[in-house]
Amino acid sequence: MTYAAFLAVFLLPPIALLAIARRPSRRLLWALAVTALLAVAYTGPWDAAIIAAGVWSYPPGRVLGPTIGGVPLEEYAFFVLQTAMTGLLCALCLARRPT
Amino acid sequence: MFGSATYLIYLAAWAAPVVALQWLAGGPELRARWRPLAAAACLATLYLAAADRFALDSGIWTISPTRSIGVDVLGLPLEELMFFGLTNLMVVQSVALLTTPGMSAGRVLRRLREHVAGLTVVSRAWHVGLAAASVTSIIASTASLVLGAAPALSAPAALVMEATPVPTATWLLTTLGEWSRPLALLGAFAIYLAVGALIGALATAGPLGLALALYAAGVWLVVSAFGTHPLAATILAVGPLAPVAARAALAHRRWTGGSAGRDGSAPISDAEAVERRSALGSTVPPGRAIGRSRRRLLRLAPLLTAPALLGLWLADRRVRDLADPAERLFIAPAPAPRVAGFPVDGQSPEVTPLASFYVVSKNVEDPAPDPATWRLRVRGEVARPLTLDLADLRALPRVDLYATLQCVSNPIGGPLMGNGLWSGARLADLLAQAEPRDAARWFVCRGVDGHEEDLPMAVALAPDTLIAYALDGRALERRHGFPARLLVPGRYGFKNVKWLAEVELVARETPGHWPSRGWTREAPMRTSARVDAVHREANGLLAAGIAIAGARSISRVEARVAPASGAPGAWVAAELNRPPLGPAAWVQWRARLPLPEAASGRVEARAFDGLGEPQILEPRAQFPDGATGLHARPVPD
Repeated sequence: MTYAAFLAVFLLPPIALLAIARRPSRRLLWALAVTALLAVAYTGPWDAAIIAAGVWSYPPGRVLGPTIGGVPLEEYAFFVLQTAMTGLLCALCLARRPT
Repeated sequence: MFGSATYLIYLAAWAAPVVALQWLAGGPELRARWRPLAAAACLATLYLAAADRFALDSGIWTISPTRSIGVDVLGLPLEELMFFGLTNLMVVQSVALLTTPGMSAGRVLRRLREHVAGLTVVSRAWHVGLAAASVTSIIASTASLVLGAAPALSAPAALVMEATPVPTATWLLTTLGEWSRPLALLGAFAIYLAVGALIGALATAGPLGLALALYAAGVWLVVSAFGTHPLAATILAVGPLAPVAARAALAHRRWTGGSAGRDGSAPISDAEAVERRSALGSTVPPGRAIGRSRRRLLRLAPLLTAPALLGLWLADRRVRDLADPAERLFIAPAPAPRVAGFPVDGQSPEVTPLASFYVVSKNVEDPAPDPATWRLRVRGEVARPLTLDLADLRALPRVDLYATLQCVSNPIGGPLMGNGLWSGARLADLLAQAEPRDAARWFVCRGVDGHEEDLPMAVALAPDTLIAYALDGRALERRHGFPARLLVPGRYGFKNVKWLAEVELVARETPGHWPSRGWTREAPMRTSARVDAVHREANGLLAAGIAIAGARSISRVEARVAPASGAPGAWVAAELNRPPLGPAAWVQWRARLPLPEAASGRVEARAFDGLGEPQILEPRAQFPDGATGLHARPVPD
């Protein structure tokens, strides 16, 4: 399985289910966008550093090929999709148990 | 740089500031809703952990086993679990704060500014931290002594050495020699006292200070846990926090009367508590809360460092004693005299006594592998990967050969050179069992300490390349690489990887520790002669010394007298102690020379290798390919 397929299989379905379970409000969508932007901006350079340090590696056959600063494109997609998934789950939990 | 702690340290350095910032900006809001937030973060983490396990198993991405600590939780490396836990924590906190009604940038900024203002007490509280750090270092040193672990501060000391620029580090190692280790420990101790004082002082300075203190303590814990017993490391990290944390807890309760909020709303934040405290008219900084007499006592804190140092020293000695097997495997016969008159008084013996065999190590704390659990792995481009224990290694056909080791940083005529009888198994014999693939072009040797060097496959297959486990018939001492090291006769010392753990066959050159810092890549030892002694005799001078030409043997040595001024005399052929002990062993020489006409002068010597190639006479420094030039010794009066 490639990294792209992994994202499609493991992250897109739960995001779709969570979005159907509770339609995200405009405010939540804005919060998710800001968080995703921060995640990409902050984690991107760190990801490049940890790859350069030899901690993480991506076998050539499993990634599409293009990188930004040595970080595979799929990695950036993962930051955005994980933010969406966890953020939607968070909103669901907050709504179920109001403060 | 951080070895197996790399992933952990990257994680801590990346996540801690964000989590701390989120708590500082929206502590009360997050605390009020911690249950649903924790539930969401845990659920997402468990799901992603399962997905991650799938990705790792099917090779979508990989994690370096040498950059992680090797602890598995739920079938995943601990760091991976932490990574997903921390990312999800950051996401839920970010989403929660951004969706909270009434959370504005202005409110967040005002709160952060209050936290920063709270840091002004740090300068008054440093001695609290220093006292705590001193006591802590005593306890940690005692703990590492009792546990028989490496000195509690050795890992941070190693980091300091690692961070020192290479030329400086090399200069320090060769100049200080045996002293470099204790001095590095002393340096690490000084750094620890400074860090400990800062941690302690920060912890008194409100929520931001506490966050910074916890962060510093965490980083210190991770770093030091890799050089000593985890318990000693924990004491070092948590110690400076203990007294201030206890006092802060008391003060917190006093000022807030418990953390229950007014009228059932969110509990007040620490920053608001500080605000309320100043509103009550109290201007007493926390540092002043300690009584005056106790404060005077704290000024004596630096005196506490003496027992800490003593503990450190004792712990260090204990470790050295534990790990020196000095096991005699066979009686190595002394080389028989071959030429009468050798050695000349003052000349290096043919075989260097074990006690004075040079040692150069970049480790603050050398590894002490347990011979019972030590394994040597052969892997990479091989058909059959091997794992051998010490008994397996010693069961292979034993090869004994004399070889001279020399450090690449040895100056011309320097002392960082020794000759001995090495015993071990041929690397080629091991590789024959492992069946190298055609793709194998280089072999990489890795030590237990992470030191890594590579050489071409042809060297691995040479009959004199050994996995050596004995020197002069005794089990290798710890400082020489117990239980086994690589021995490649004719290459500078750093290629002879000590505490060998792994031989990996690879397709491409992978520059090791020193070559990637600019030093010679394949490290062939240069030809050189050393003048050990010059004696004045009735009708001339008698000079003597040794000569080495890597593994290329010595064909000729010449000496001459060079007066203080004027042209040097003619080269005179020296007599060699033949036959030599081996092509890679140094050769003793002696030469009779005419008395110099001038009052003062010196004797110079030059060597020729087995092909008749003379040594390079032009003086060059050790970096990058090893020193060249003529060695000389003054003629005595």
